[in-house]
Amino acid sequence: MYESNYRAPAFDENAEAPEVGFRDNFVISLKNAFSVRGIIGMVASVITILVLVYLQDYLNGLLAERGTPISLPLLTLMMIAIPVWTVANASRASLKKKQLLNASETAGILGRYVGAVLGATLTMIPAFATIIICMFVIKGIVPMAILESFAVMAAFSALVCAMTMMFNTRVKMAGALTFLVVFVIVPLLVFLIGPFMGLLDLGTICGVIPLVDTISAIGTNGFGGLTVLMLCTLLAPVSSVPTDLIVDILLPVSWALVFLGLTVFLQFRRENQ
Amino acid sequence: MNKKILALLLVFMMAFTATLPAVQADADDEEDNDLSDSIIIKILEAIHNKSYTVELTDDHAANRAIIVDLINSVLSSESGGIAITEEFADILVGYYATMVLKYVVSGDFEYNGGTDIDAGYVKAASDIPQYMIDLISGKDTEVDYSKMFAECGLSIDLNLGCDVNTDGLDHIGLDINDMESSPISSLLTALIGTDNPDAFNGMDVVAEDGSIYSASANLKLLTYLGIFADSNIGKTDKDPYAALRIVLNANGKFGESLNRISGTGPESIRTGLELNNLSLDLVVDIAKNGSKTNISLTINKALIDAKYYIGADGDYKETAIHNSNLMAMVNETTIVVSGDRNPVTHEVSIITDAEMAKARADRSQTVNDIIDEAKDGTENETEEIDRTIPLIVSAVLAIVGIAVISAVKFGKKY
Repeated sequence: MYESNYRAPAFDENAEAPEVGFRDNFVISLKNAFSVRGIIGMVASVITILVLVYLQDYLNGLLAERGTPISLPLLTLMMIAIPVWTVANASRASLKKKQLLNASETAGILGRYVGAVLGATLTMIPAFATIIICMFVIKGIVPMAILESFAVMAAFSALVCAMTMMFNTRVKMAGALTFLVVFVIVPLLVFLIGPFMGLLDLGTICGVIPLVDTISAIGTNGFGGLTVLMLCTLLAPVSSVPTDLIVDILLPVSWALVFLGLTVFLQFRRENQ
Repeated sequence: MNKKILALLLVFMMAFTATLPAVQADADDEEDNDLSDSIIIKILEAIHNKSYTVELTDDHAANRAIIVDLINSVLSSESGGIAITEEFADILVGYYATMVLKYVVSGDFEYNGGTDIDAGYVKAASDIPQYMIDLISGKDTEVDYSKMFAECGLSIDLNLGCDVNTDGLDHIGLDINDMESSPISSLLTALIGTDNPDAFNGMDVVAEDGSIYSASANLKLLTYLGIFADSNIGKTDKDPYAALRIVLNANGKFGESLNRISGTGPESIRTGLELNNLSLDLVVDIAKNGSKTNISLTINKALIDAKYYIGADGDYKETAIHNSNLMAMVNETTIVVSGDRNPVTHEVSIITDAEMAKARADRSQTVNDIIDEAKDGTENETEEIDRTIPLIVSAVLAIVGIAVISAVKFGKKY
């Protein structure tokens, strides 16, 4: 049997007190989500969306001056901000600053996880509320796609929380790593396998690997979520990311369960060094 | 009665596309007029639950007779008493055939006899629900539908031929220089890409005055047009609006080929447009906002995949026409034709299955058949999202995840 010299960092009883129990961990996660950094994050997400509204108005003005009477889709632009903030809030809710995961035993990890997902979803409500209010004030209607997008966003929070916690068993800067994976590595891989090399159809790939672009895609026809995939459109044509509500909810949740299982397993190995 | 439908349907299509720019001028008067006697209402009533089929066989004489009957029935009801002969029908068909030639190939062709009408068919069906007509004309309707829809199906396979003579050719190709510059056409240029625009310039050929060619054209077209409307006109006192969602799917091909009979010039000239797929999903939104009238056009989807070719003997040029990358990225763009820069756009969603079933039950079977044939034949198959793989993958992953968690939780006890 291969013996590795790498030892996963064991629990340091002095530095990190392993938290046991579903309820204690649940509360810890919620506190993470609604800490000072969390509140600042919520405010920043609202400001981002307002900036995008201003940007859309400004671009419309530019286009109108050139004689092209095109009005850019407001909802699409606003929804671009959602994936970024979803991942930011989800990873923040799952982490304690500069620490490895100190939830212990299955119940504890589950408690930490459920709390993180709940916290992440709740902290995204101001952003969605801003979008609804802006649409109502500017356009006078509130398209129903908002609710579907919220459901997909919640499913994605579940995925990101599980992924962050899994990375956090080994790596302290799990938030940054999650960002890298979700916004750069996975879309890049999908782009290379799909539209670039043409090995697989983008629809098939999205049926196996959930792309965060789908959060903003519901009702806005795949404008992308500020991921690398959007930039790759300049290299090779990328058709709109295929979306289907059921798939967009089930797939991230099932991947989340896998990552959760891995988290439990890795934490178990750490505990029993 | 049925035989007038084709002519009226063509008039309706032309009137619809012609009135769109004119709406801006009329919009202020729209709600005030009594529309029940207008030409639009007459046309709508004429194509309410109607189908029209013309079958053309290999028997040229019989086909000619059908065309003569058709034209005579339209003429007799409109101008009373004039009837055309078969020879005149030949000339009429030949004249319209050469009109197409003039635009598509060269302006120097004239009709020279020898009309041929080969086997083919024209099937048209349309349905506009009665309550939609009532609503537009302002009558009270018993049924309170907030969304209305109309459907048209068109299936054409026409093969026509005639002889043409030329008074000297020096160039063949499309003559598209006089397309007006408008917001729509500049948007079209941004949305539609070609990979060989040189094909549109045509080519230089030399044919002497008096050369005679035998021209044959074939047109295959399958079109489905669905119009879904949402309006509050006549229902509330708020600012009125009418939003029309137009879904147009089409595919088909048009080809024109000329073979030299006498004189000098290229042995054969051929040109055509093959439309693999045209899918348009537009919403036209007309709303009054105080004293301003906002008219905007939202493009939900605009996909085109076509090929244009032109050739004379060995010289051959072709180009693919497709939607540009820009279109794939920016859907639901709104073009403001007049009024506010950020207009309120009204959602018009597709009709529910139950409402569709009820409307279909009210139609005749032939109308349903033709419309279904057009709808199925032009549906873009890549729209279907196959859920099998994702569902299987989700199930497997979920089981794996739960298995690992359970194994860790319950395995520790052993």
